[in-house]
Order: sequence, then C-alpha cells, then structure tokens
Amino acid sequence: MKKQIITSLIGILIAFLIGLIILKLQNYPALESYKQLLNYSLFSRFSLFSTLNKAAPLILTGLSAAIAFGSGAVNLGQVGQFLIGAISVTVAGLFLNLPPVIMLPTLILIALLAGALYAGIAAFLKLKFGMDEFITTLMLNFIAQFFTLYLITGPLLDKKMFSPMTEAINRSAWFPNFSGLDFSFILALIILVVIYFIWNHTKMGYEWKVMGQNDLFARTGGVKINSNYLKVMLLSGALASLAGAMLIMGGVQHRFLKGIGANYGWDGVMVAVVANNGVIGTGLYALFFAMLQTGAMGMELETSVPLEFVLVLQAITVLFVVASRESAHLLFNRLKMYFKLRGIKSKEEGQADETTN
Amino acid sequence: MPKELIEIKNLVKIYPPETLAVNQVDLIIKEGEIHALIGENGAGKSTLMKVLYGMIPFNSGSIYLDNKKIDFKSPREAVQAGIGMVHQEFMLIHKYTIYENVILGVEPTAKFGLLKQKESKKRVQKIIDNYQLKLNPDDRIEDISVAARQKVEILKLLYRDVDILILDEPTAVLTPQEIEELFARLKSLKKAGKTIIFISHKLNEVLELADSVTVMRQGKKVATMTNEGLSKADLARAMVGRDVVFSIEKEAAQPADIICQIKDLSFIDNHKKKRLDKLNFTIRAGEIVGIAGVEGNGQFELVQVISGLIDNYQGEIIINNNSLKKLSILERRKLLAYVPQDRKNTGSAQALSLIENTIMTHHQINTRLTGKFDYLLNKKASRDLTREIIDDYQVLSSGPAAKISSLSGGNQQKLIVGREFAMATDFILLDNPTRGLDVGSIEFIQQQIIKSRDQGTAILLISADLDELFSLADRLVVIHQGRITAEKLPEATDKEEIGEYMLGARRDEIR
Amino acid sequence: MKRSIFILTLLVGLLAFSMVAMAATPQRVAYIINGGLGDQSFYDSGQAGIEKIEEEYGIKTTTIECNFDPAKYQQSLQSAIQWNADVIFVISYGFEDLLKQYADMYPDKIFVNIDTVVTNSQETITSIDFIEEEGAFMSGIVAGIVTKNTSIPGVNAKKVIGAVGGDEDPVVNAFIYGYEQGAKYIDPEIEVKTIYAGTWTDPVKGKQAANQLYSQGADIVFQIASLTGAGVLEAAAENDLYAIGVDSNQNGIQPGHVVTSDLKNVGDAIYNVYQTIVEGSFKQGEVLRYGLAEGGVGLAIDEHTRAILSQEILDRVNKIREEVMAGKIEIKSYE
Repeated sequence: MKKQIITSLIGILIAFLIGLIILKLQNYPALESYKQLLNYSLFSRFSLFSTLNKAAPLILTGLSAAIAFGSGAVNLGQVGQFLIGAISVTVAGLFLNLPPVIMLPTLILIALLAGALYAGIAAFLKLKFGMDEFITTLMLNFIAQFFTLYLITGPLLDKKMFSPMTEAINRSAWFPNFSGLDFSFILALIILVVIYFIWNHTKMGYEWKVMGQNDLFARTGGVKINSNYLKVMLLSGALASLAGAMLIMGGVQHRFLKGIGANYGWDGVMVAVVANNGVIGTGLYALFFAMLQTGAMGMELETSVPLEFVLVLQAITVLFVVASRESAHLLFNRLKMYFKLRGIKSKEEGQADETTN
Repeated sequence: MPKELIEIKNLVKIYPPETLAVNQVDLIIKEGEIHALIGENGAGKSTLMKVLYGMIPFNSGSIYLDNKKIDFKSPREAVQAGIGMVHQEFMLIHKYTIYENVILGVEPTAKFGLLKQKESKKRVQKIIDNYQLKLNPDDRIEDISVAARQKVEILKLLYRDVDILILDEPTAVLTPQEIEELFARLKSLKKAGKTIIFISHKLNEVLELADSVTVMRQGKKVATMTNEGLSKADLARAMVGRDVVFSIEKEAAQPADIICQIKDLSFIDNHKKKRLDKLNFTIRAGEIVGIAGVEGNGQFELVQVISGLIDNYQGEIIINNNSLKKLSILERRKLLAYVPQDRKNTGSAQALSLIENTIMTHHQINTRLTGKFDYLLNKKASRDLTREIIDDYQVLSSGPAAKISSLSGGNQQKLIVGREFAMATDFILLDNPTRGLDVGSIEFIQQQIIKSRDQGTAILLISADLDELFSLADRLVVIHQGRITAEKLPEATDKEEIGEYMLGARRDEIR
Repeated sequence: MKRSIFILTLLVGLLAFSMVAMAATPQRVAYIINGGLGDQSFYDSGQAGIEKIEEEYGIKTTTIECNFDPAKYQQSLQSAIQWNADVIFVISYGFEDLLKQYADMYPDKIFVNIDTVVTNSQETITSIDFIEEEGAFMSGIVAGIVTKNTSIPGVNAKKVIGAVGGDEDPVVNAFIYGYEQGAKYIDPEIEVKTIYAGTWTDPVKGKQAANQLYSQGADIVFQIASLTGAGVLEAAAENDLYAIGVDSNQNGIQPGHVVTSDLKNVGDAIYNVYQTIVEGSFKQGEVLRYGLAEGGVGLAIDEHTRAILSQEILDRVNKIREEVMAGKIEIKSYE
C-alpha cells in the first residue's frame, strides 16, 4: 500500500515535470501556470467546492470501472449507463412530484435500477450467447447516446430553450446544496465507503477480487462465476448510472442538455486504470483529475496556456503512474540485483586477499 | 585424454531482484563425453545451460569454447557455433511434418527463393538413418508420440550440424521403454563424436548414462565426478546436502468402506474425440489409488470431470453415496478436496495474499469461516486459519499478508496442499502434487499424503512420476488412450511392466 | 529639490489621471462562448469585436471556449468571475440557467448575453438580441430571386430553395421563418425545404444535408449551422450551385458559389455595447435589439456577389431593404 502511494506520487511528479518542460519549451510561464491551476481548483472555497462537485460523478464512474475491471468483467459501457441514469431521473423528475424526502431516494433508486438493467443487457448477452461484453457495452453506448438525443430533441424537448434540452425537473428532485458544495459529493463519498466495505469485508467482494486475478482458480474453488459476473455488471452499471443521475439532480441546471457528461464515462475508465482498480485510489485519482479539469480554465485565463494542456497532463500522468508501477518495480529489482552482485564480488576479493596473505 | 571443449569460469547469474540462480560456478565439459548435470529443482542447472545456449544473459564470469571466449547474444549464435539445446517444452509446429519442422528457419533455397526440397530431404533422411532415429519425415507432429517429438528436436539440431547437445530433463515425459530407446540413441551420438550435456534429477539414469557428473545445489557447484564407482546415495547426498531416504516409510494400507466409485465413466470432448472410455474403479477409505499413464491419455479429463470443470460426462462418479452429476463445483467441494497440477493458474491467484489464497472454498464451507453474518468475511478467522496452515505445513513466508508469489514453489504447494487437506473431506484428488518441487518439499508433502491416508481418507493420486506412484500408491490403475489397461498392486509389478501397459503394448481385460 | 518636487507632482498627477481612467473604463473583459472559435462566422465575428476593444482601449480581454461541452459551462462563468472580469459577454446557449444564477450572485458585474434574451430575477443581464427574421428575410429575397432566374448558370426551373440548420431551436427557427417570408415575398409559390443537421460542429453532416437538398431541386441553400455550415458551402461548390452564408461574410470561402451572407454583426454589437459602458450610457438589464436599421443584421454584398448577381438584381434587393427599414414591408417575428 505504502509502496503504491509512493510510486503513484512519483508518477504524478514526473508527469508534472514533463509538463513543466513542455510549457517551458513553448515559452509559457510554467510555474505560474501550475500555481494558477491550483488557485482555480483548490485555494478558495468556491474553487474547492467546484472541484469536489466535479469529482462526485467521476468517483462513481471510476468505481464502476474499478469494480468491473477488478473482478475481470470488461464493462466499457459507463458512457451509456451514465446517460441512461441521467435520462431516467430526468423523466422521473419531470413526471413525478413527491415530497423531497421520498422523491430523492426514489429517483436514486430508479437511477440505480436503470443502469443495472442497462448493463444487465450486456451481461445477459455474455451469459446466454457468449458475446464479449467488451463489444456489447461499447455498442450499448451508441444506443444510449442516440436514444437520449432522440428524447431530448423530440418528445422531451423544451421548445422555449435555444438549444436541445429538456425542461428542468421538479424542484423536489433537486439535491440540496450546502453553500456551493453539492450533495452529490457527499453521496459519492457514502457510495465509496459502501463499495470499500463490499470489496474488502464481504465474501462476495472477496470472490470478485479472486475472479479478477484468476477466474480459473476461483471456479475451481467453487466460486459461482456466472452469478458473480452478473452481480458485478449490475453493480457497475448502477454506479455509472447514478453518476449520470447526479448531473441532473445536482448542479444548477437540473435539465438533460445535449452533450451532457461527455467525458465522465471515459474519464472514469481512466481513473480506474491509474488507480489499478483500487477503491480508495479511485476516489483519490477522481479528485485529482477533477482538480486538473477544474483548474484548467483558470490557468488558460491567467497564463494563456491552452486548457487542453491538462488533457496532456492527464495523459502523461496515466502513462507514468501506470508505467512507474511497473518500472519502479523493475528499477527496484535491478538495484537489488546490482547490490547483490557487488556483495558477491567483494566477498570474493576478500577471500582472494586472505589466500594471498 | 580428451580435450576440454567448454570451460565456464566463475559464472554468476542473478534473476532480478535478488535470486542468485548461479553462484560463481566453474565447469569443464570434455569433448565427446556425456556429462550429466544434476541437482534439485531450482539448483541452477537449467539456468546455467540457458546461459551457455545464449538464451539469457549472465552477470559476471566468462565462458570459453575451444579456448575462445564466447558470449552468445541469442540461441541462433550458439547453434552457429555448434551448441544446441532441447528444452522440456518442445518447440514444434504441430500442423507441419517432421521434415518441415526440421528445415524451418534454415530452408535451403535455390534461385528465385525456391525450396531445394529434394536435396534437403535426402539429408534429413540420411541423419535419421545414421542415428537410427526411426522417424518418417513426412509424418505430422500432431500424429506422433511425445518420444518421437523429442527425437525430432534432436534431429533439428543434428541437421544444423551441432556438435554439442544440451538436453533438459529429457526423460521426464517418457515411459521406461522410451527412456531406454533414448539412451541408446544418445550413446550412438556419442560414438559419432558428439558431446552431450544431460540435465536430470533422476539418479538411476545419470549413473547409467553419464561419463561424468556435475552436482549443483542452490546455485553452486558441489562437485564434478567421474562416473566410476558412484552410488545413488553419494549423488543424493551431494544434491540435497544430507542423507536422503529413497522410499517413504509407510504401513500397509487398511482399506475400509468404499468412498469413491467411478462407474462406466466416459467423456467425449468438443472435437468428438473420446477422451475417457468406460472407466471403472473404486477408492476405499484409507487407501491411495494411483493413476499411471503417459501424459495426454485422459488424466487431465479425469481430473476435470471429477473436480467439476467439465460436467457433460457419461457414467457415474459417486462419493459418499452422492452422485456428482448434478452438483455444482461448490457442492462437490463439500465432498472432495483437490490439489491441481497447475499451481500457478489453477491452484492459486499469484497476485493475492496467502490469506486470500488460503480461505478459498473454506470461506463458503468451513464452519470456522461461516456463521451468523454469512455474507461477511471473517477477517480474524481467515488470518487464524492461514496461520495454522503456515505452521502445520511448514510454509516459509514473511507472514499471512505476504503475496503468494513471493514464496518458493515448494512453499506455495505446501500452502495449497494444506488448504485442501484442511477441508477434512473423505476424498482427496491429487494431480501431480509434487511436480517441480525440491526434495525437501516432496518428502514433506508425500508424508502428509500418507498421514492423511492413515487417518482414513480415500485418495486418488495422478502422477507422471512412476517412482512417486510406486512409493505412495496402494493400488495402481494404468490408463492408455482413455481406457484402463491394467489394475495392479505395486508390490506385484515393476516399472517396466507398468510402462508396457502405459504404452498400450499390453492390455488386461478389466472386468 | 525643486526638480524632485516637480517629478513627484508629475507622478502623482499621472497616477491620479490613470486612476480616473481606470474607474471609467472596465479593465477586464471576458467573452464566453458555448461553442468554439474558428467557425469563420458567429463566434469569430464576436471575437473580432473583442479584439477591437482590446486594441482601442488597451485593456485585458480573454475568450473562454466551451466547445459545446456542458461540463465546462459552469467552469467558464466561475473562472471569469475569479479572473475578476468586469464585463462578461456571453453566448449562453445551453447554460442560460447558470448565467441567471451567476448574474444574481454577482450583481456588480456586467453580464451581456448575446443572441438571445435571458432575464434573471434581479434583471441585471443585458441582452443583445438580433432580429434574425430581418436578415433572414433579405436572404430569402436573394434566394427567391436566384431560384426564379434561370439565366443564372445552373439554376433550374423548379421554385425550390433550401436551408440547413444546426439544431432545431427558436433562433434557427426565427432565421427560417424570416427566410421563408422573404422568398414568398418574391413568389408565394417558392417552396423552402429545411434540414436540421443536429450538430453545430460537423461539416460532413452539413455537406450531406446540402447535397440532399440540391438533389431535391434546390438551387440555393441557406446555412444556419456554424461549423456544420462549412460543409454546406463546400457542397454548393461541388454541385456548381449556390449557397448563402451566415453571421460573418462567408462569400469568399467558396468564391462564385456563396451568393451573399446574412451578417450578424456580433462584433460590432459587442464593441458598441462596450463603448456605451465606457461612455456611461449603458443600462443594465436592457434588451438591445439589433435589426436591419441598427446595422446588427444585413447582407454582405461584395465582389463575389457581383460576380453572380447583376446590378439590376442588386438594385432590387437594395430597394426592398430600404422598404423594410422604412417599415413599408412588415416582417413577422417568430413565436
């Protein structure tokens, strides 16, 4: 665990150093840019809260991917499940109007169910027909994209607005906001704790973890692969879907806009990959990427470094954290080997000296 | 006095991070001799030869061939210099013929890139005749026996004009008859002036074949001896560093009730090939039944059918009066413990901790890990169980939280055996439980197997090692092409006879 | 000694002078757009205005592009606030709710919304509303004249004209509404076929849509689709037919095929509004309507136009324009 944190930090550090060189080469004020990046993402209540708000859905899509990958299920359908979650609470939020105490849990439940069912399609196709979920989840992403686009430009279109979007959902479905901090973030933390508990303290989580490492071993040991796989896919879908629901129920607009949540799905996959599917790591990296993305615009304003630079930074971070996980290991081993060899040689010389004396 | 052909001086090879595989070894190979390199698993003999063959780099030291310093960067360079190696896993293309495999990579080409088939075919045939390899160059690899495939590997090297042949445990997969045949061929190669290095840990074979013997232990060379007046005990002592008991002490079995019954068991695979053909045998409480057979004759399928990885079989498997037919793997595991052959892929998850590897199956069945809040993982009980197994089975590790991959093969296997024996089932299925382990671990595991038998467990032991079968089994069942060819008591037969049954040369009418 | 006093007074004076100037002139102007620059049209036109402000007043300006990514909408407003922008020009398609919230939160900042009317509860948002119907009416006039004039090369006998919209929204619909009125003013029998591409950023889709319209007999297609529209202009050149550009002067993009462009002088409007702020005549919460008469919309007539249309036609177009400005022709507005 400690070693993981160190290699992650080294990876991030190297990424920032490379970013520094890139900025320098392009004649941007490099250190100033980093300072502004942090200024606009951490160092004021407003900045900090918007980083946290942005992190909330990312934590969930990250967990969705981490749970799936960690259990050996290749769910790449976060994008689609996210949209399904968003559209289902939009519809429910438009047509249902209950007191908030009932409304909020109901909508959360609807989102979880909708995402689970949507991911369940891919799971069903795999279990029944052996179709690779790698392909089916990707295909389902497209279906979700076109289906939601149809809904918001057709039956659900708010004709009064100047671009495709639905009407705002009923106020009773809005998440509370604590002077800028959205309830989404608190919900994401709660979910993170729940997932951590499942992963580390339940038999189900244990079986998933073993499946993710070696499913033949799990199967031989009596683990029911198929039913566990189904559970994983359903949970993974539910999490991504809840992330989508957050974007509607939380925030300011409370509408399904065209192009909503474009990046959360894939960023979640990225977060899970850098975090090596660890639950806590996923939470931390989600925060880290949210910070980068939140600060990017401010950095551009202050130092005119294009905000796309943070995409480069993200990519380098992913590469180096993942690579440093491997290469730090290799480097470590190589150093150990070197010292061992030196140990042998010096002993040998000592012996040689003794014999000559 | 034959000249010194290869001289290795002070060679060191470290596998990162700090596994000292070869520790300052000096070795001289003389021209025209058969030189045996013996040692336990992990003693460094294969590594040393792979270094010589240019497969892996070394850290320090030097190698001379004909007094010229060499440092091969690849096996290709080694072969060009006249050194060739036959590995334990053969590198042949199954769909190709013997001839095609032999010329692969050194195709004799005429103008326009055309193959000069006639000439090269003649040469291949000539080598086969010269050394009496008894191969037909037009046979496909997939159609010939394992022993024949091994000869193809040797043929490949001879075709490339190799003078020094390195053979890595060539007898591991052969029957006694095939071993004899191989030795005859090796002797004729020697007569033709070839030098042969022979890696083995089977002492009888070494004594029979080798001119000189080098013993390695834990990466170091213990000694090089001329094979004159050497005894098995001498070699074993040098290998292990202490006296070794060759036959395991055990009382006569006292078989009681029938625990496991195999009735008319057949299995046809996806390619419509009959892998198991009406097997019938029983295993009683307190006895060990050994399955002997050349690999690939149905052992793999038998294990899968019993363990539940394959469930579409015909016939019956009955354990404790329960038919396994409709049972899930988990339900089966309440009736049987199973030590798989492939420790890394089937027996463990290498990236996980000892605890996570130990509680597998226990977490659903063992009453210590089940209870009131059954969906929760009892962390303390898991740790305790792991500790107990670590202690009881002498698993050397830095603790229950260590990754299993940090353990040596022997210690991993002890943990796996411990896990399965701790299930306390009446029936245990053992698939090559000691393969690839060091002598110490083998001894320990074999003792545990006998102990378990004496406590009244019914044990089915599948092993490719006839010595192991003879020393452990109370009854031997021989299979060939999925059929039982003999059922013998070990004291009433010998290895040669079993070998004939294994090859299908003899067949008893069983019931 | 005297000398130093003199320098000191000079410095104080300079300082005072510059402080007065600072108080009068907003020092930081942000231009937030929901889309991205490089459309050679709407957003770029606004950018030209921003650049002109920076040049003439020597103040700091910045442009924040959201590139149609809803995740950036809130960020853009918030970053502009944190950057201490005094005036924020914003094209707020898709985040009107956010704009209202931020305007309410920061009543001392000047928010100027462009192209639509957005009203917050404190009514502090000023809106620049272009009368799209008027500009589009003039485009319809040109399109109608072109489709009826078979002496223009490539024009068929069918009285069909086309339009490609980005998305179906009230602004696009206002364009099409005006365009239709213009065409019908020339000849009530003219049929207007419309395709909504569903995207503002995909020229390939725009090209497909235009090709479809040309194959249905349209001789001229009006694009109201931002970057997607670039494909429409390309299709015009490939079919050897005609198109009408939008927002900026796009006549030169495909010379000989873009008859005219329905200008939306976003840049001028931005510049004008900024001028009123500096001069002190600016009123918060006002809706500024920019039509034909105000010079906010209009046709781009240049040498590319003259290469296709005769002077006679241009005179007729100009006469209609004057009648509209004089109120002699009534153009109905959408909604």
